[in-house]
Amino acid sequence: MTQYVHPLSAAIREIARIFGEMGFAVADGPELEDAWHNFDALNIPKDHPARDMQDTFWLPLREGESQARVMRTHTSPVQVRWMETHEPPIRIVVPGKAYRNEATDMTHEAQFYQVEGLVVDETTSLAHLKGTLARFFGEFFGGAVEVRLRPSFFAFTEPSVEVDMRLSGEDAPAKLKGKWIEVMGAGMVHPKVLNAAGIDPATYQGFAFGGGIERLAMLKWGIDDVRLFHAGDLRLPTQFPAYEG
Amino acid sequence: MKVSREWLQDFFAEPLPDAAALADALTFGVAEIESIEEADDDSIIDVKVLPDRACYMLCHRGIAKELSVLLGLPLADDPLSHALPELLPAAPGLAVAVDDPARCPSYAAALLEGVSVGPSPAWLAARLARLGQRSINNVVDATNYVMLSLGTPLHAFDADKLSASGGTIGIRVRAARDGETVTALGGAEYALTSEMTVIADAHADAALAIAGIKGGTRAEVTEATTRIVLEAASFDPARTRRTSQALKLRTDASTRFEHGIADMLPRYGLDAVVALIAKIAGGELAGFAHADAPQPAPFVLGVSAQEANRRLGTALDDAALAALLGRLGFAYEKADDPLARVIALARSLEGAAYAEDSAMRFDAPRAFSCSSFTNYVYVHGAGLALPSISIDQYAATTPIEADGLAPGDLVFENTGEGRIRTETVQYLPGTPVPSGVDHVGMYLGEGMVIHASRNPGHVTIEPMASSPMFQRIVAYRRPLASPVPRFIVTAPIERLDLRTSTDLIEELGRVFGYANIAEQMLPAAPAAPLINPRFAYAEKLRAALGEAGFIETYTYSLRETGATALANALASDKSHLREDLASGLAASLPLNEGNLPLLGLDAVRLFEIGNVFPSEAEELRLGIAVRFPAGKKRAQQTREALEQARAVVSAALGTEAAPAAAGEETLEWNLSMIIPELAVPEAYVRGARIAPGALYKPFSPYPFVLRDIAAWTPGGTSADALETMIRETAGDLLVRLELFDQFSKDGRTSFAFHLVFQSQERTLSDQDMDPLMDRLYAAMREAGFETR
Repeated sequence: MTQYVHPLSAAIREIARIFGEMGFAVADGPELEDAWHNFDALNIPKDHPARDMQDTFWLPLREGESQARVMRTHTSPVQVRWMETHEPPIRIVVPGKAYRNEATDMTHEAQFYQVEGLVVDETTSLAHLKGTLARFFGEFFGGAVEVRLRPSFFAFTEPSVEVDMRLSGEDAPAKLKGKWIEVMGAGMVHPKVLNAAGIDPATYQGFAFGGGIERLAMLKWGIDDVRLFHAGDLRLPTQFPAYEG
Repeated sequence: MKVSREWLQDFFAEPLPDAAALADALTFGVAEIESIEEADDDSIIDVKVLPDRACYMLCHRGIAKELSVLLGLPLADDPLSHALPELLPAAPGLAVAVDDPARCPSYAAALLEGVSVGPSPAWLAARLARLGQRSINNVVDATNYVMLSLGTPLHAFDADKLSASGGTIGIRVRAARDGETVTALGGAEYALTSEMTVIADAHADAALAIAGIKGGTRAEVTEATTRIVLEAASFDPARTRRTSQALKLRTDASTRFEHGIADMLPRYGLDAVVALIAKIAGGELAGFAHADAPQPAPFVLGVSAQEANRRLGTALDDAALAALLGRLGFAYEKADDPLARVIALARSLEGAAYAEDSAMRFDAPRAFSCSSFTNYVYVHGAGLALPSISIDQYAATTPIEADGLAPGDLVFENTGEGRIRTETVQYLPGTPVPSGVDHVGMYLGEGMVIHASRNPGHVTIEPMASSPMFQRIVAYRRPLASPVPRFIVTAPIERLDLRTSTDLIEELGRVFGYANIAEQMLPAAPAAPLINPRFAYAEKLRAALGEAGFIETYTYSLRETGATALANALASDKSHLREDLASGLAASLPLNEGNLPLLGLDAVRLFEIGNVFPSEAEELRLGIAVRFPAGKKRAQQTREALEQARAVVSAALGTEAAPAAAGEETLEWNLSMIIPELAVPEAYVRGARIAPGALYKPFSPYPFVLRDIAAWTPGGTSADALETMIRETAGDLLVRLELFDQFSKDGRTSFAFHLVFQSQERTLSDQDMDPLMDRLYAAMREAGFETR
């Protein structure tokens, strides 16, 4: 009997393997999250315009509840949860589901998987972020890859950057070869985030990154519609028989 | 923020490069570009200004300043480099008052008389039009123009529509009253609450505008207007945001105020708009009035090359860092020996007053608390910010032994009287400091300490051993880890985003260029990563179920029903969190069953691993769903498949795991309950991969058509030969071909195939299928086969 692989699971598996080889543990956390972990601890205070960057599904405030819960808008709250319970050095990747309250189309989905990465120790710099992501993209897509950073803003990192990659290896999918493609947001963990999670920002630093896993899978396997991933439709996974090589 | 290249050019003496080059400089230096449009010999660049930089970049001047930094082109005349406008003379007939400075930290107004309201000059109307702004009249356009130029929202009122008392009109900024209404420009009426702020006609006590958001019709400027009051103010960002959200009213002004602008920035805007109106609408300035909260001293911060390099992974030396600060246009001083400067500064402040609750930026160097004193000397002497509370200064500095005490070290004391804190407040909040801290001073060497304290009530230098404030010393700590040179930077007035050394390092990094930072690999990890048991067992289950012929799917977490409803759902069918996996999986069965021939599967066997939300909990679950084609064996096949699934799951988990729920065609396990009971695996299984180079092919949205064909062939004919013939004859519409029967009799072999046809472009009809099948039959007969 032919065995099939769902591309989302295949992508997560590759992410866990590649980062695992670089010493990253796979971490997880709740999808139904409190606003403190999803926003405040990540330096996105109440009534701050930075909250507009993420359209949020809120849950109704329950009796006696001082802060509302949200469907996590990113996997970044797991950074905070991990730091609250682990001492540096820290290296984690967090592949997990996130939610955005936005209309769906071929490239937007109200639920999607995101991979978050976090490194915290005494010496990790933006240069390490570049090197780490270059190695990841090189292994994930196969072959030579360049990584380019552009200035950006995320409340929980500083400096904050957008991450572009350009594949040039022989195995690179023809559609991607030689083109700069935006794939992630990243940056150096904001000292306020370390502080909120109980890690001394004067001693420790590190980087964090996050990007959509469906997007990585779409780029790698040429899937043209993000909605296919969560539709429960076997016409997607049956295109990907398990590879025995 | 849309900006015009022509308008940007006003800020430069030298010609700017073309729009593409400007966009490139901005993209790699500061902000993403949404679009570039060509319009009437101008280029309009839409710059995506992010929240942190909105305070200075939501205007042409801000973007011109960035271009100046990034391209190395000097600004010909930076309006913000001028001295703060003094707003003189005072207007005799105008008074302004602000009830609560927290709501409105600065309010300035100008009174102009003899103004001729009319159409704007063509250049002004054209500039606004190119940015998508409608021209209204010369006065209103001038306010919009200056906002787009300097980032300060402005508003014009018809002064004659304000009530006068004793020859004076008055503006009062006050809380709105619950239920108070304002008819905004454009005619919409808004009901306000006391959480909101209004600009009111002081004498008529009537609201003229919703503060920071939109003006009202009551004092609207019209063609008949001759006296105007121009308003330039700053409003509390969070309150502006809440008001704008509550009223669902977002304007150019509210966007700027909710991000925050420097309190004194509006003065530059007022100065500019008064000059512009005088030019294009005539009239005479009667004067100004203003009401401002006390303003803090300019913000001072600092950085060292060591700190910048540590964070960026660069190798900048002091000269390179100085050059970058110069490019950024920041005023800075270099402290070659920061510690010596700290000590000299501290000594120079001897005698300054003590005030327990003084705030550094407002009261220093006139008055200090103990911690504002230590903070001030480190900020201004070394560009090193300390937390504002003494116990937090304790937590943020490095411990040293008493015998290592050196000048510049901080001495922490628990006086035993008054407010002794035993937990940090803002720095690593809640960290216990059991010894308790309520006072801090700085050691000067030779047994002397300098500190600001209630005893004797000013900054004093005295022997530590005999100081009544240092009889219960709890710790000695060092703020500066290494005495390397530091840069002390004064943040420009408009740069509310520059508050910490990290903010400065980001500025240095982006101007140095992220492209110039060399990639580095992380060092080898100190230990093997922890195994995540949930991921490990999920992967094990995926592998086992996959091998057993179950196919993984993902279904939606948001469904029509469930125990937990969203407060703001996208759609009624996605209004709740799913309570289980089975419902979503079961819902996908009919579609997949209908596609079985297309997929070449005998039955639907699905599984999903994902989180569900029964009642108030969140659980990781595994769900199974199967569907066999209708027939008398269906019930038995279904039962057997579910039994098989149970066996596979139990084997993968290494335990007899009872399902949490079972349906006719579904099974579901609560992995959140099961996995904690299991041993953590030592490694992840090597799960299934996708072949290198595999690519997805879009599937047709049109229905497929199923046909069978069977033929007798001479002995020795291979199935392959028949398949080749069928494929060649049937062409691209044949998407699946499956041999389902083969037997030999009397020296002949019979082959029977399922054929699945589908078009990417249309629904196949009999008109498509009949000739196609005829061709297939004909081809077979021609080859000497007997079709059945």
